[in-house]
Amino acid sequence: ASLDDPGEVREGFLCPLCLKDLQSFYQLHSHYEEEHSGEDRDVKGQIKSLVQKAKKAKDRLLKREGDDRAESGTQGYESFSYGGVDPYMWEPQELGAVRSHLSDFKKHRAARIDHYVVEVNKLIIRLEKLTAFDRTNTESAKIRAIEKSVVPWVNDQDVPFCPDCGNKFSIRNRRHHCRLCGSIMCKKCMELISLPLANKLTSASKESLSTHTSPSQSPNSVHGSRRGSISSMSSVSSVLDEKDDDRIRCCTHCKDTLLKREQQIDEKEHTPDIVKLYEKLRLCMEKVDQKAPEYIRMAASLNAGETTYSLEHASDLRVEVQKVYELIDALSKKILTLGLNQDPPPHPSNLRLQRMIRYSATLFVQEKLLGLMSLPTKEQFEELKKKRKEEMERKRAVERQAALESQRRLEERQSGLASRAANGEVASLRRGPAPLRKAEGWLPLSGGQGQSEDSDPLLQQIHNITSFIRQAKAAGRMDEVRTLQENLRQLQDEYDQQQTEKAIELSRRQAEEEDLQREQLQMLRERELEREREQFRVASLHTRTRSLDFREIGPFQLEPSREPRTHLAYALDLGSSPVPSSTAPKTPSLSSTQPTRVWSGPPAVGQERLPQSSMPQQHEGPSLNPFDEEDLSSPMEEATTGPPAAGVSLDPSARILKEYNPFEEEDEEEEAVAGNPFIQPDSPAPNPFSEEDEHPQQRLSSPLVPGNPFEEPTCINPFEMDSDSGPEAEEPIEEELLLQQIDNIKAYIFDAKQCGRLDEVEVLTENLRELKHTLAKQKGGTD
Amino acid sequence: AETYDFLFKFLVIGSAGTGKSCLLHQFIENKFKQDSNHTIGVEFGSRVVNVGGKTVKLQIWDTAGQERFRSVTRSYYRGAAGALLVYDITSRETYNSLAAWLTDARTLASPNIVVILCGNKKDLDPEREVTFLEASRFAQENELMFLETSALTGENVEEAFLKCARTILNKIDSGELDPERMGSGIQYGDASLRQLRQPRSAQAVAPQPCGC
Repeated sequence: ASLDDPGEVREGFLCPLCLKDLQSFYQLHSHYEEEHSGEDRDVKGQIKSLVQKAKKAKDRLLKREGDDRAESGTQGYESFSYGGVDPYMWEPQELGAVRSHLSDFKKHRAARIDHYVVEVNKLIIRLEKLTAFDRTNTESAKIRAIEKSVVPWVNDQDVPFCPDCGNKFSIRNRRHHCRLCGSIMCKKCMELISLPLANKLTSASKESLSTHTSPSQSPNSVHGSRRGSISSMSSVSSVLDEKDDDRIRCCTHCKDTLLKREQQIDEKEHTPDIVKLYEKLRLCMEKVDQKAPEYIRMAASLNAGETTYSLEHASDLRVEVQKVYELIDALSKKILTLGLNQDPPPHPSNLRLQRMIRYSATLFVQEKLLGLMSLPTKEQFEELKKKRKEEMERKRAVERQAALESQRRLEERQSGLASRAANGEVASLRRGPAPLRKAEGWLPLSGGQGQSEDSDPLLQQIHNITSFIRQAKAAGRMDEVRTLQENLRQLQDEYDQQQTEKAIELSRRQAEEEDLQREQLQMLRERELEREREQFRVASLHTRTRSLDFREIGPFQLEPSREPRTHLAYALDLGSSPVPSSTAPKTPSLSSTQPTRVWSGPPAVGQERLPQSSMPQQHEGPSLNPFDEEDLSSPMEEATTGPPAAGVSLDPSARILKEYNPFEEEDEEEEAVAGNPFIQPDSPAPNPFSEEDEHPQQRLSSPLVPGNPFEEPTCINPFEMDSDSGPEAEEPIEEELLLQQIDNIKAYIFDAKQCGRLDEVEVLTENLRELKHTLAKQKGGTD
Repeated sequence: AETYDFLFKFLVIGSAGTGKSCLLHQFIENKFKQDSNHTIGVEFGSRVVNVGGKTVKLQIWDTAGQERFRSVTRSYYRGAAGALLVYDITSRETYNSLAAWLTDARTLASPNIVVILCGNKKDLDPEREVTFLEASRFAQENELMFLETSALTGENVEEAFLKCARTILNKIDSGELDPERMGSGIQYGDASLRQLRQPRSAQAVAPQPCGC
């Protein structure tokens, strides 16, 4: 059998080399000398020293065993642990193969524990049975019968001598039976188990080893009976009577076993003093953790002069916390001195534990106690309260003053504005009282209402925000100032971007116009040449040259890009309200529109004064906000067909749209008038000079066609005219209108090219050719 | 200076003449704005409120409802945390355009913007053209909160702003909204910063060397 076999563990004097069990040390020794003397010296040397050590250990153990008999158990354990071979004497070893023996250990331990536990439990069960009935009120004979039924008694004849002391049994030295194991002993060697002890043992086993108790018994009845027996202790019947109503006889061995169990039970139930004290200590610490922050909060508030908490309450709490600290101190001190006066002094590690508990408790107290700020006295508190009140009042006063000041400033500004309004500079001005300020809210005056409403909404917003910033500054609202300033920056960026885009767009348009001008110039020159060749109408020639000149000048004078810039300058001059921006550009636009009309019909200039006055207004809209609003206008076009009002309309959007009116009207006109040539190309050409006064309506509307039709981005209407214009084509066509239409068509061609509408370009070019043809024919006809 | 935990950017949007500026005025000044003109561009107001134990500063941008200011007002949508979408219960037209306003708000602001629908002019009940039920159904379908308010009497005005703020706070607490994200319309106030800077209460007793 090898050691590797987990199923077997051998004990005894085994030979280390052949594992033979040799019963005794001497036999092993001689066996070793005989059998293995010739083998490897190294091994032999090792074994020899091992054997010597074992020998020594055995000697000591034997000696100890002898001592142990006399000494008490607890001391034995301690000395035993220090006995034997001192492990520190061993040479350090390298870790070899490792193998777990835990399962082996458990198996063997389980077997032993089972054996031991079963033995003890057997006794306990019997004890229980013996105490289960009412001993006092039962006859001795019956008790004996029950006792005998619990465990079979050993036959008297089999035991002539007491097995413990060896005395011979006789009539005087009578045999006594152990009620728990049934064995026999003499009276001297007999032990007694009192009922309370029996009950303690049985009830404890009932709790922990409930599986071992017999189910037929009710523990309550046992209790009752035992109490009864205790109360009858006074009438202890004599031993001679042999009736044991309050105790049970047993042998020394059984009693020993039971006493050991009792000790176990006691140990289990007993909590050492140190644990009890420590638990109390922890409770106190938790209390401090809970109460101290509350106190600190109170004290801080009180020291600030606040009246949230009452001073009395706080000082009560302080006393409470301090008491807990004292308790912690006392408890930890008690733990430290625990067991110091006892006869066998506590184990060193016990003492160390006690010292550490004390140490940590001291630290705890020091740290937390230092954090407890002191409370103000009653007088101090009153003073603090007063101080705080004063401070608050001062703060409030400062705030009030700031509010008043801002109000005053606002009023000043308003009165300044009002005086300006009185001068007629600004018609309707900011109304409303100074901004009302509440502690938590702020609402600036909306300054926008009175401001000129015809400007770019973006500019208006910039103006709004600047006004808000001023007001916020006056009210000391730095937060709002920051927000608003950031917003203003964004708006200005946006505006700058918009302006750049506009400038780019404008320069593009200007270039386009120049191109167109050149084309027109070319065309006009051709016409002049044609006329010169005819050499009939000197007057008309004169008119044409004049108109040529003006046409050249007009578009360049328009130069609308300058206007938004000046306006931006106004906007960025943030203090002032924008001056109506239309005044400055009025002159150039006037000069630009006038010549156009002169060209279209010189004798009618006087009549056209009325519509002319509205022209600058029309230009004002687009110059302020010429391009970005295009999409806005489209859905509302039908509302704008009416003639533009000369005065300032309240709705700026309508005004923006008015810019498009001319084109709308123009389209209608085209449908009505211009289409004629294609239907009746052979109609007699009218005399352009005599006809002028006969068609005042047409002339009235025609000058509305401005010189710059190119502002109109996508006008598709002209393409529809071919089909629509049929029925009205009865009247002879004025040459002037024809020429105008030619111009228009050219513009449309250009626009169509711009939009990439090649189909339309084709149709229009065709149209243009026809028109020119008609014109030539007419001229030929009138001649 | 004021201290607050959060700063929310709010918008007031809705068709022209629904009483947006009056709502704002009522909320901040606690009184009705008589003979109010139409708003030019965007106006501004701020107020510190207490919501759920937190102080919140509301920065409110009151936009013009008129079409011609749309280009300006739209630029204010960006980075708004909450919006009051206002219609007039006596004008079905303003109610009908709610969907367009809502689309604007959700696309131009953040999709997470917390919107509360306000049926204003509740005091003009005899002239009512939109029923409470109908509007609340609309609100439900579009996941809006809904209140009928009166800027004249002040009824539900404060509630509307507070409800919106509370919802935003809840969303912050639940992690649905992240104040740190750009364009959330939420900023930490100095009060919350101070809280962050404040050191935690002194650490518990340092662990003692164990005796074993």
